[in-house]
Amino acid sequence: MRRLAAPLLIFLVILTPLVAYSVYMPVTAVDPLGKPAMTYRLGKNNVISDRNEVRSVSLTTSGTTVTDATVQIFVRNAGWYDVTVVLRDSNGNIISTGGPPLGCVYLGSGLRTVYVPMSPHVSIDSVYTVEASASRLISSCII
Amino acid sequence: MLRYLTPILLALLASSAAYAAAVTLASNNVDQLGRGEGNVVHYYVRVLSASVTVNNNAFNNQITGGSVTVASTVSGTYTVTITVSTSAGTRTYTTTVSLSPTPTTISFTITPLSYTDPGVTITVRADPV
Repeated sequence: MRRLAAPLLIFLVILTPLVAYSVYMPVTAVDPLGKPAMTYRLGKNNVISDRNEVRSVSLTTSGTTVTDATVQIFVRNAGWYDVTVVLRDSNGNIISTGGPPLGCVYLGSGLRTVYVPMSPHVSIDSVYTVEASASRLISSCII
Repeated sequence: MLRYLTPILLALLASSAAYAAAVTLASNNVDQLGRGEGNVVHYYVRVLSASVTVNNNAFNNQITGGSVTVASTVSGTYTVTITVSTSAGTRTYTTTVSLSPTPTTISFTITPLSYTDPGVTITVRADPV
């Protein structure tokens, strides 16, 4: 009985302070403090033949994954346009891009809406900046 | 000698294992980094859309407001600050709203700001109240 008591006592003496003063720090507690802000950049061009401006950008999500974007552009010069949506992470790196399904799109004058599928699909929580721009092309990109 | 060391080593081994098990089991219950600090809340603001409204469709138009669609992974009351910037200047709109994982649309008005090239930057920031 005495033989068992000694190791048990040592065990308790060591275990008690370890448990009492242990600091539990799971991974979530040392994660970055989330994401308190997001930035959108809507482009406007000032070229004689290309004086359009982006009025809105809307991201479509499936759960928390960004799949598509919808861009509203006010077009002053009808023609073929390249519409680009870029998603950036916290370091400013591009993590997803999108453009019209056919590469470019014909837009008449006025407020126009362009559907833009994004690739790859990324989590909305990893997106810090959304950039949308449109630029008029000399001719159609569709062969 | 070994006769005396063996129980000590066994005790050390057992206590280490017990400590590791205790840390693993309790790691889900931790909510703060230190007793002197408040709760560490990890929230992600999700801005799903941003738009601007303008005073007219002429090229030299001005931004008079807009709307943003915002959600947060943690439900609660937030101070939302919307900053609108172009090369002509910066305008700020602040409001207090309840945010949750379900998106909320916030409309805002600002004193007119020239919508100049190369465009407008809209930053949406939400801080818990």
